[in-house]
Amino acid sequence: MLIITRRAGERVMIGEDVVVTVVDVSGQTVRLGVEAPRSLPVYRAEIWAAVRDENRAAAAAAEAAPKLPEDE
Amino acid sequence: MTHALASTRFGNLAIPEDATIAFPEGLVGLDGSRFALLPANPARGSVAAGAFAWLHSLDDPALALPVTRPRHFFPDYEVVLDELDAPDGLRALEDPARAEVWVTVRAAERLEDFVANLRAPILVAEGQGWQVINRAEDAPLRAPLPLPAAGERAADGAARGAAA
Repeated sequence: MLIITRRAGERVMIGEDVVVTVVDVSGQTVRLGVEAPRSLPVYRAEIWAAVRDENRAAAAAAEAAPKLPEDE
Repeated sequence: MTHALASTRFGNLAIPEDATIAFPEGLVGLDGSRFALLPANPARGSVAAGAFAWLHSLDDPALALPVTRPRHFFPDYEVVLDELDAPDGLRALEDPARAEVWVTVRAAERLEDFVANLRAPILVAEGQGWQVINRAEDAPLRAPLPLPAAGERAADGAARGAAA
């Protein structure tokens, strides 16, 4: 992992299209601004991981219980 | 034109071209970008008629996610998108609010054990689909499906019977 020290107001570029700006640093919290092409989804990592786990669990649970109610 | 799908779960199926859904950004953490909505029982029934359906991968014959129409169980369900989260294709739609809304469910032996992911709904419109992060406050990752009490269900059935 590349580790870079930055101060509030400073930026990091990832390739030519993605710019991450340190907007504010306050105690334990860092506010980041992300500028990225719209085609590149930006997620908070913990939400992304939770949704990934849920998608996989849905696919796995379906294998164990393959019948869905046909009419509610 | 149909797409031949050799589903490990449902056998050989012919998916009409207009029933296929392209997911330009895929589904979070899963492979593949082409899916189709199949009825709860693909051998009969229709997607339009049921509360549940299968979102079946066209790239992986073993991958299928049970999905449901959230408003069937949560009538007040809302999808609130952050500007950052709304995919390009969705924004390009004439009326994104008219996209069909589905949510994945973890199916179980008993319906009362099903949980739905209200946090990451799947929006479908014009042959394309996107899984998005819902910013609405009351949108848990694992929401148990509220089931009508037995009495209510019987009454509902009777009303439907009377209407038919």
